[in-house]
Amino acid sequence: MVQYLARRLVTLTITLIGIMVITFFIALVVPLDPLAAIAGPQAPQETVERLRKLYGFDQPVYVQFGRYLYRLAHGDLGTSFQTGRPVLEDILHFFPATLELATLALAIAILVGIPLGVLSAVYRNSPLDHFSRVLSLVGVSMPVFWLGLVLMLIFYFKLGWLPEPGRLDIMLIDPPRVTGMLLIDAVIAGDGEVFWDGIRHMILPATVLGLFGLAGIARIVRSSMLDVLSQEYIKTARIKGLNEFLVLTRHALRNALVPTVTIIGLTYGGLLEGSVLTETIFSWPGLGRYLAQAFLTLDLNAVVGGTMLVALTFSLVNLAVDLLYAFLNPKITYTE
Amino acid sequence: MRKQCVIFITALFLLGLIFSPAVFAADRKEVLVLGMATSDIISLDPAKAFEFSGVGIINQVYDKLLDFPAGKFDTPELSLAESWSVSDDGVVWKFKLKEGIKFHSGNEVTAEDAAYSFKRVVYLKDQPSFILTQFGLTEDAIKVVDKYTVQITLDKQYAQGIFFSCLSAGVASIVDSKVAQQNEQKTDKYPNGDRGMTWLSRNSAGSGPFSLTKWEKNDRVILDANPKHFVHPPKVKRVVIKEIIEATSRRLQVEKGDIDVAWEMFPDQVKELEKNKDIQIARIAALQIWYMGMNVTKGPLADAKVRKAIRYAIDYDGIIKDIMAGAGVQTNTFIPKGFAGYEDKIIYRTNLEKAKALLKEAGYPNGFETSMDHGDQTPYPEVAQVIQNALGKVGIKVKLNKLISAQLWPKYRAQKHELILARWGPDYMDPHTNAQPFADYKAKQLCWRNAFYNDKTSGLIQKAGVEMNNDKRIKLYQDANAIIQEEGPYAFLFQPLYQHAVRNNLENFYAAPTFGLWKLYSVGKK
Repeated sequence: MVQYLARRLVTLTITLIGIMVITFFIALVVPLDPLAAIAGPQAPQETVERLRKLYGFDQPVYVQFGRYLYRLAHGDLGTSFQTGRPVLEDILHFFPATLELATLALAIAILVGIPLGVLSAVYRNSPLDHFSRVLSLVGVSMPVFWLGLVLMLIFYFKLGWLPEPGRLDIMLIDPPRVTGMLLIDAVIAGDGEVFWDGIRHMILPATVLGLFGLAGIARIVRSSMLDVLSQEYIKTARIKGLNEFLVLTRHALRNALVPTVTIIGLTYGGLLEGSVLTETIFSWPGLGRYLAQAFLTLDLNAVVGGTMLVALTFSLVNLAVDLLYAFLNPKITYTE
Repeated sequence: MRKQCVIFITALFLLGLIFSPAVFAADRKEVLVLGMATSDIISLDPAKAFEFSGVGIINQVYDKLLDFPAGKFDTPELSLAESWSVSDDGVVWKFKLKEGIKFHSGNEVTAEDAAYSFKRVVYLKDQPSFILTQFGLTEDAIKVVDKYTVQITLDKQYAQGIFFSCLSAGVASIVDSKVAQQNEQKTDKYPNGDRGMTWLSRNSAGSGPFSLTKWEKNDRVILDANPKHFVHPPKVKRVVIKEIIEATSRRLQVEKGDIDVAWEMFPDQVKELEKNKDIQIARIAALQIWYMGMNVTKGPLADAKVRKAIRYAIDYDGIIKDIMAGAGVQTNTFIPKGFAGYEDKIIYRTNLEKAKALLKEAGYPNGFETSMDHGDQTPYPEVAQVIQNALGKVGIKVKLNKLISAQLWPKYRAQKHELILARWGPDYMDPHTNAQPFADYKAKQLCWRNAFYNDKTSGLIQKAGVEMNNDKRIKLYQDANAIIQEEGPYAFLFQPLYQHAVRNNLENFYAAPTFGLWKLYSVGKK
């Protein structure tokens, strides 16, 4: 197990280095000029050239790459043009907001998706199964932008049940920043008002994101459950007179969860990249918008740093999924 | 027990949902909340900020020697300066500061601070620095005469109107030198010290009506009132500028009353908002000009008659009515409405017959093929399509290239375009900021990018740059404009309107034609 983990971590490091090199060179060889974004359309040519020198873009690519590597070796991802702050600081600033939202969205997707999948399998072709199918279809096919605006219009504007977009009421003061995750920081500060307000603000964006994840989870649980429910050992359990609830949860679901965990892992990995559209509609200051702006303005350091972070989180989530297999199915072991 | 716990937590959760924190509502009257897209902010240091929102915020936080008061946009007035004098040759300027004015830190505003502020702009050489260095400013040229007098020596004589407008731009903000020096650090870009630039990007050291409390990118900017401001103590205690990129979301929030002002509403939203009696629309023509540039080195575009034909072929009404839904005014001048010298005279109305006749005269009776580059953001693609359609009617087939800004501007700067759809906004509040790029190719800006090397217009603009008589100066711009309209490399399209949705309980909110003239100290809440 330890050996397996060590091997995976070595692979992960190599992957990250590869991604860094590829991203860096792609960003430099594309026929785009980052200075155009930094200087804007109006700046005179002299200003553009002066800035090119100031930012070191006048140097050959290998010099720029060498400098980048040197800084990276010292734990410095460089400074972002769009914030003027070290990229690492930016990532630590924007990522917690995304992590918090993604986690709640995933919780919604799991808590609704799994029971829905199980029930659809048990009551196959019933109205509930059809409802589940429609909900999944909506979750996957509705444009996030449209769905977000419609939900906002209904629950914020018309009914007034949920608050305005944003992370916190404008009159509330953020708790002291410890983790960057508002809810956890509010708990640490013992600020109930901020905590509840934070939750209320998260419901809509988390639902929109959760609905997307839910679709995949419910469908895969349904098909895995159908597969498992036809197995001999389920029949045996039923013949033995075991309670149907126990048959479904203890015998069927646990086995059906192995493929589901893969989907959950992929969904979570995707959510952790941040969702540009959801963050835009709900004024959520997360990683998605930061990265989108970085790409659009060719903010090189932020692009490379952000891409590495996304690759890292994706790999870690996948690693966690692989380890979970062993937990769910003791027959799976990791040996050399 | 476990079950009871679950019930208890669920009940708490639901209670939390039902009771929103009403306890802060009492203070809401003293807080002005604006919803706008502020993601363009890179830094709030006056020596670096050059983006719309950043310049707008700096305006609230810093004072300058000269400034434009709220709602007045014609000429700058004395602000921190009490008086000024100039040498006979128009080169050495002295500004005497008012005594007893304090920065937010409590330090007094002195000539040392003014000199430090200008010197750091020259030293840091960042984006907006050209606004000051275009007058040949060096660090040595800025001197402290006495505690309250600062002297600036220019490399030659310049028109007073231009110089004063530049001194009232955000980059000329007076920074608390002691605070900036305390926060100086060495960085990669400035190994000899950044003169507080890193720190000032998200903190403030000004004397203005507001101080910067917080800037969280993609989230909000919080400004707190400086009730001791020497002339404009704000009417509200706090301003929160909330980042709301999505215009529909801004509209919903202003209608609900969660924000007091929704910045820049689209024309179709304005129509709906006008039905809401709690909301009024604050409108003003933005100091921006939308135009189509024509590279005169590219084939038929070299012929002035062809360029004129194109100007006659464009469907101006279609652009303004259908694409901008009326939120724009046609213009035939590079001096926008709002600046001295603006001429409310339309030279080019759509006239396809005239366009065809001109093309025939130029030797292109069946038109020709060309291409147009344009940005990817609405309404660039839509405007480009209307132009494509209109030019098609006179036989000019236009291929459209939609490009992101990192592709578009380098191509424009390298003169590699044929036609290009673009816009221009002023860098400072004087017609020279438009006249120079549009008509003087030697400034290496728009006129040069479109390869229109006309010495006559260039000469007129250079003459205007040193003309001390304002009326004569304006006349020179108008003369240059007449030539540009007749044979120049542009088709001027329109000047857009800024339309903000403002809740009725706000007093003295003035829409400004540009972020550089935006002032919030006058705004109060009933």
